[in-house]
Amino acid sequence: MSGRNFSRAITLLVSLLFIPWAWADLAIIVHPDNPQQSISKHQLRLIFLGRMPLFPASGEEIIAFDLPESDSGYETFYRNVVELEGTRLKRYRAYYLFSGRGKLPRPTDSNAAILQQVADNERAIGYVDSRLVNEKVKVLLTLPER
Amino acid sequence: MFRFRCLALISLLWPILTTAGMSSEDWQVSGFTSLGLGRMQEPGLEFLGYDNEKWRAKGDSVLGLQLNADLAERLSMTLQVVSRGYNQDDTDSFEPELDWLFLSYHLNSAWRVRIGRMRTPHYLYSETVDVGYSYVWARPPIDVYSTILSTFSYFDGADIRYLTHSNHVDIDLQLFSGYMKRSRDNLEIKVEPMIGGNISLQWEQWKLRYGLIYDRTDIRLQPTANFASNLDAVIAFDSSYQSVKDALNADDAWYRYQTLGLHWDGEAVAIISEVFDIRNTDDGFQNDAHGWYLSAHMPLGKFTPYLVRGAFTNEYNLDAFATVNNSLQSFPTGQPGYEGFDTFRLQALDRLELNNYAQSTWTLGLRYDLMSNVALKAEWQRFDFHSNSSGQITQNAQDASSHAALTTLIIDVVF
Repeated sequence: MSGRNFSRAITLLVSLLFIPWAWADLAIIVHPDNPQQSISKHQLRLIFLGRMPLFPASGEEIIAFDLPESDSGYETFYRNVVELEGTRLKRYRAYYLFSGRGKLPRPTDSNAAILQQVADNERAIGYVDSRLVNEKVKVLLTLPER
Repeated sequence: MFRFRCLALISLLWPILTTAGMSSEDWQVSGFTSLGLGRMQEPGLEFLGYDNEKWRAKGDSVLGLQLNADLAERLSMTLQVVSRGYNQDDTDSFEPELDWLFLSYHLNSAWRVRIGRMRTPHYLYSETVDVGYSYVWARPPIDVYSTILSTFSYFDGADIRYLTHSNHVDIDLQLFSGYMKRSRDNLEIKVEPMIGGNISLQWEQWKLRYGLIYDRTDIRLQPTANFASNLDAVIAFDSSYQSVKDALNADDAWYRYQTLGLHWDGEAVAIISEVFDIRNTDDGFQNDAHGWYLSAHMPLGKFTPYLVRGAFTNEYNLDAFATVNNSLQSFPTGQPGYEGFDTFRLQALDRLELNNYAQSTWTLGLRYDLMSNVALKAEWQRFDFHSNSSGQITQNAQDASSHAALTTLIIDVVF
């Protein structure tokens, strides 16, 4: 192993040890009874921008849940899926909410809160750290962290 | 009648609100506020209540509260109350106004209907014009978001919206119809019906929007206004002044509003441009207008500098101008015993000039996102006046400048 590769391996190991959350995949989850079996990245973008109000499979109204802004999963999701971040995202959300078009995703305070909401509500959809997924929810899509 | 219909609408909603058995999760309360300071550089000019005497705070200051409630599956209600420091119509400063109150129902994944009070969707930012946080500028460019349309900011009626997605293009179609009635500057303005629609195409970083509205507008001088009664007396004295009266009234005239907007939201630079055209079918109240702006802003982390260029023209009835000017030439002011007539003629000229103007603007500004829900803005705007007018700026002095500059500092918050 060359010196450069060894250095990279050490860096990776340290990252995994001290900031494991930065490497977590995101799982898109719904209630197990939701007839929706899959979902595309484009559909997710529309849902979290408020442009798709109903589940395509069931016609049920969607209630989307957000991680807190302080959670790295929030930024990862909006950067990679919704393709908006930072001030552009905040301006868009203010525009959307106050223009009478609809509601924003409901904020939560943790991955556990989203898992609970989705487990309790057939109309819910959310994104969580894929390592935390349990049998009370159904995974529609897993998104690599990057 | 207007307030009565609003109350009637609320009373219709009330049983639904009180019997829906909603939990707290079904309610979302949010709000926005802006506190602005502004000062004109030149004396004798006024815009949004800003002048040269001192820094004033009412022009852009606003507080809004919004309630979203899920009433039943696919059925929701939105209510928004806004209190503005400066109003273009006869509403008192900071008097709360009901801007949104509607029921919304999703027929399926593509179609949604709304009924109630809604903001009139003239332009890209018409529906959030009071929500400073939602755009980069201190206020939307006034060459398009002009003061003449502020009176028509909301309507009571219904709309239907079609939203679909094809080949990664979002297609958003809105059709609406309704009515409105308000008063401003001794004018009673009634629009019934207002019929319109707009279509937006959005793909990747591009958004293209076209809007078309037809409305039948009745504009009349309030009979109680001194000017109106004086005008009738002058017409009895000189019948040629009938053209002045015609110019100050629109008798169920059909107006056509057309708008075209383009937004390119690039990561390094964003471009927004809109152009509009208003045509009136009434020969008397020839209130045709057109304007445009081109705005560029560059996100640099929390800082967003921006530059805007725009122009605006509003054309009023030229025959009425000629009548007053001919009268002033053939019968100059200052004749003993005709002081009242002189005052009236100068008032008439002021009223006509108030609505016959052209201007162009340069705007330079900086937005700084202080916190996740707080933005600070500093803006400098230069107005150049054309057609011997003072543009959308109110002229309080006889010898005002051919240009003006306005400096604005604003803090915008959403919560």
